[in-house]
Amino acid sequence: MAPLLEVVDVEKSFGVKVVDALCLQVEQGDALGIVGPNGAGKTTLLNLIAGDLSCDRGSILIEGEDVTRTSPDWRCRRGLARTAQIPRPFEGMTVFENVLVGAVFGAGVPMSEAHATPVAVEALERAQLLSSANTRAGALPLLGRKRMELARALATRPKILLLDEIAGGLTEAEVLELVETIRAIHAGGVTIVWIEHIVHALLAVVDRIMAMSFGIKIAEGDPAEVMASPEVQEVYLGVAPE
Amino acid sequence: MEWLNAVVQGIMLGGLFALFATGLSLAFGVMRFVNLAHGDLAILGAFVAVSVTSALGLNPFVSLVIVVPVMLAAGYGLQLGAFNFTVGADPLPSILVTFGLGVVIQNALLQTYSADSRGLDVGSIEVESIAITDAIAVGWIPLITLAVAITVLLGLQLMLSRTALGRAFRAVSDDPATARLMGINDRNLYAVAMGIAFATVAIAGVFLGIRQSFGPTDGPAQLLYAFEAVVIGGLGSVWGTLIGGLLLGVAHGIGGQVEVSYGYGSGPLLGHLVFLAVLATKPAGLLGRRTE
Repeated sequence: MAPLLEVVDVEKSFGVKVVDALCLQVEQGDALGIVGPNGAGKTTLLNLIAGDLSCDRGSILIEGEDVTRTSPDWRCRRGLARTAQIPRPFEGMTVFENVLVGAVFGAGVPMSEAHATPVAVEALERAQLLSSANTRAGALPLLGRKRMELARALATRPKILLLDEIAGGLTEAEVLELVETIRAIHAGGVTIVWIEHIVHALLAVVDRIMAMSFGIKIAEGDPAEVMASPEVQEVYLGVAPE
Repeated sequence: MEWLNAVVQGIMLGGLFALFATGLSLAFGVMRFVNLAHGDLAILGAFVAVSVTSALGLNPFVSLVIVVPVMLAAGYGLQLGAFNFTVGADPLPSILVTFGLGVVIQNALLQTYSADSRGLDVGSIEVESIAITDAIAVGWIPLITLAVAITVLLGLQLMLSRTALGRAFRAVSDDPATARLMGINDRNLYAVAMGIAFATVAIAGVFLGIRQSFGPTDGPAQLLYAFEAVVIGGLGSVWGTLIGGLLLGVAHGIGGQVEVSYGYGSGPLLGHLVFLAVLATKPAGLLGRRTE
């Protein structure tokens, strides 16, 4: 069976190559972490997968179907969801309305609000945000906004969830709370691809790590081994190999 | 009493202005799209009604059943085929494209219908009115126009606040990139919005045609009033559009009465002055959201 997500020889350049001949396979049920220093091309890779940016070369496949030339909304309806690094709620709407938008339009075909409402409620529950459902989204604190990004993504019933530095900017206690939520989401059957600088948060969830530097994959495999490898120690942690 | 009458007649006229402004406001609110052909589209709608009424022998009111779907489809198609290429952070491309469209519509109408003024005849109701007092009588046509304007705007507001489609409109209006990530096909949604805008301006055009005579080149003047109503009320705000239209109408009414009583000034002049005053003191409009 084709992998859930396949990235084949993808390239993107903005004057310089930001993502270079990158290949990646994600199977159903995986939890993949992506690490790398700032400017390594992690967010660009996520944007290429989600369709916010178009690839210069290479292809992106979801369940064996080539989606390289399709729009973000198409990919969303094929089962891909992502959260943004900086949360971007629809500020004028309530939290519930925000999530309802995802529930109505994110599935394969638009569904009626009556059918979408339980989906939105469930997404809010899984993101542990149900108690704030009627808050105006613009008024949420940072952790709430991050949870809303999660809830909105979950409401589209994703097979695969791309998380872009979702733990960034949170306090230590908040990070641990969010990690629990993400673990539960993964345990619930959603495949996860997570970019994160906060390594201990990542290690608590993922079962595989890919390290990137200057758009190139420099290591991939068991999280502990990857983080301990000399290449990663050098480029990511700034420690010269002995 | 004649001043009160001027205000009442102004409110009735304001209904027509609000109806004109609805589509302009919706297109700007949803996709920051400035439609300079909006007035010409109203006139186009009125001419389509002329053809429908003469070909099928229908009453102009009944012709709306055909005119509105035709214009709705035209708006939907134009957005998908042309306008979508101009949608973006910069409103200038939309201004250029719709300026061109306005020229095309005016000349196509001149070719097809000649430069003669036309009217839409709805029979004796045109001159019938309800006497409220000895000095004040309200015409049926202006009253129906106002009622239709309020109904259209109320429907639009309910759609925006209560339905999935309305939520999607608000979502793309706020942040189209994020809306796409939620699975919303924003291009198609823009086409729906433009379809609705065309439909409402067609209604406005038909009511204009019933109220007064019109010619192929009358669009830009209507556009001006529509813009003024939208700016007075606040861009992208539904209730603001209604209030803007009514206020502009009242200004026209009072200005007209000033002209009658004192021999100088005019309705449109006072309307423009009110518009300038609002622009100078509340640039975002009376009910407008502050722009980021």
